[in-house]
Amino acid sequence: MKIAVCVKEIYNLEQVKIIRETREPILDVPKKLDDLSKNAIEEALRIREKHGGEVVAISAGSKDLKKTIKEALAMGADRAIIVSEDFQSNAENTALILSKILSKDSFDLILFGDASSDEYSAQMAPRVAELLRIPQITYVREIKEISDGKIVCIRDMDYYYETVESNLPCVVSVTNEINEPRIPALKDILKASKKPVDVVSLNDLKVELVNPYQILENLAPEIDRKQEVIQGDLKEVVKQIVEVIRREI
Amino acid sequence: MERFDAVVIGGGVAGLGSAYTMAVNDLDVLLIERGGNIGEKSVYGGRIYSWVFEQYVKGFDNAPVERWVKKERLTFLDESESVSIEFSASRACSFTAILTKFNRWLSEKVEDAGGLVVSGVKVEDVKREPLRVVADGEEIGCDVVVDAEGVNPIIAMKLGIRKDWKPSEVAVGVKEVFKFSESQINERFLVESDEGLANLFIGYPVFGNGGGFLYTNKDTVSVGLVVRVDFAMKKKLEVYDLVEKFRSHRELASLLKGGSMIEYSAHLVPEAGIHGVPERLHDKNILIVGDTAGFVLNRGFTIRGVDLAFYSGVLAGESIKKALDEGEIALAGEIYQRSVEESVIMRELERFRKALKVLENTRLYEDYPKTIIGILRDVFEIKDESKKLYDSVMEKTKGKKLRMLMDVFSAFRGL
Repeated sequence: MKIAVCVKEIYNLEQVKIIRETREPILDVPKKLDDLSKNAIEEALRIREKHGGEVVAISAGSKDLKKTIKEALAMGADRAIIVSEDFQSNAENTALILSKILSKDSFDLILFGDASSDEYSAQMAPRVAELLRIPQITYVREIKEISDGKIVCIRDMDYYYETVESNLPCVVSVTNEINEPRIPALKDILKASKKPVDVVSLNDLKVELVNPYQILENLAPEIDRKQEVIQGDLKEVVKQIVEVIRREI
Repeated sequence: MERFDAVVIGGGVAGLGSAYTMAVNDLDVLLIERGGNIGEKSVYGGRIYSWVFEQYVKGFDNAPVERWVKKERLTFLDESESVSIEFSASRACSFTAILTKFNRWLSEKVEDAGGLVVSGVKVEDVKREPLRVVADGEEIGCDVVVDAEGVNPIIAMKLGIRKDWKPSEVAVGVKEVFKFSESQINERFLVESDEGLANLFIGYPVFGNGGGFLYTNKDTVSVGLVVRVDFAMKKKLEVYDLVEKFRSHRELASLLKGGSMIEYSAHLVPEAGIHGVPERLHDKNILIVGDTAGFVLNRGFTIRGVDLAFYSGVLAGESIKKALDEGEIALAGEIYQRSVEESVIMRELERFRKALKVLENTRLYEDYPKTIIGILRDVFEIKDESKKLYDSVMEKTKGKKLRMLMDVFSAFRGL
């Protein structure tokens, strides 16, 4: 099995600060591998353990990606192919880049996280499958079987589970229910530093980037704090707090 | 078992300095940092003296410098008023920086030079004969360990290389970062875009061993307090309470008006000067650097740590390189010991040996700020009759002239 896992680097959202007055985020924080990308990597590793083969992490992102991609390698991916340069980042461009990289090789299975925690648009797997003209199975909570050039997955449709069979090669996007991603140990991190990372340039890929939409504003939601301060004798204060809670629920 | 020439424990400025020096000298070096990302656990006031980075780091021009400090201001505070002295320099020798970013940049330098930097991993132990570092249940072999754990050096204490700090040897520092726009900072602090202000505060609310600071970054302001732990214990001072008071003082409130607090951090600061440096800075091929070795110099109006930490890392790296070249790695510790003793680090700490004693004098923090403010109030506050400067000075210093003179003299000599 030759498995490609398309992963995404995102801002470490826990560290993003919001300027209270303007509600603008300060995005000067380290990047990390998106959680659902880790689920996808983990699933690929489990398939490799069972069926043998190779796991290749593929990503397009900023200059920091050279560092971020090491998380995928430390988890156990065999190698990586990345675009690591500043480009007009939007779903269309990323899909064009990823499908270009993927089409240069012949993968049996292409895994995605079904969305990313930053934008959560859940477009990447369908877009890439469409560009590559291969079947796609989204919202996969379990890969049941891979054999004879076919894959059987269970899709999580909120109110029911759907079992789908497809020919390989195929694009599969996974939910966070599919597994618990492993946390790499020091020896894995050390090994990762020696794994090959193929950095390809947009020039070499000859991708024509597009600019179909713009993000006009990115602000944190307004939170109205009640700012009620309760002071006084302990017994009294407790009563008042209970009163406030009662009122609110 | 994985093997490296050297393993560095801790990715602060000192650890990065040693890893960088070894990496550029083609040593096989691994740096292990406990925090999730390099720089995440690094806290300091806000200003770095640049000499050592200019001298040793290739491409320092691209360092994430916030502003070059061209204005130095010393402010005496009482409960409601203040007196400031400002020095406007034509050239800068220090810059403000966000240490998290600065260390991240340094770690990229280490990696560019071929060093390996791993974060999010805690070193559990160092074992000897043969030398191994234990982390994540794995043993990593190496010829030499550089211990750059910082101010809380668990492993160095366990190995008996250094003792724990006494409350009189450390201070607790608290810092808040306020967001503004770049032009707001330029206008408010009367600086150009690449110029910054360093402001130190003596007096209120600590009125004792410690003081406040404020540094201007590009579009943020770092402001905080440092208090010696023994003094805070004796006076039952709560640091968060002091910060609140400090920030609410008229002087500070007007400087911080309209800013939005985006960060809060606290850390211990070694403040024992030369008295906090262990006699031996190594145990054969385990070397201690930076805060672990106590390389911080407190002169009252300036605290130097980052440059000395980085430089001690450089010296450790160079010593290890030398010992390896001579084919006798066991000598690394001895070579390092000698190079530190002959270096500017020990010369500076030795020169200010008496500073700690002088800074113990609580009159410096309470009586004198109040006296100075009182005198200037007398001079400038005119209702009907004005006071002569001479009369005010005589009145405010009544009965303590000799003591003040001696204090001033010892401060001059010690600081």
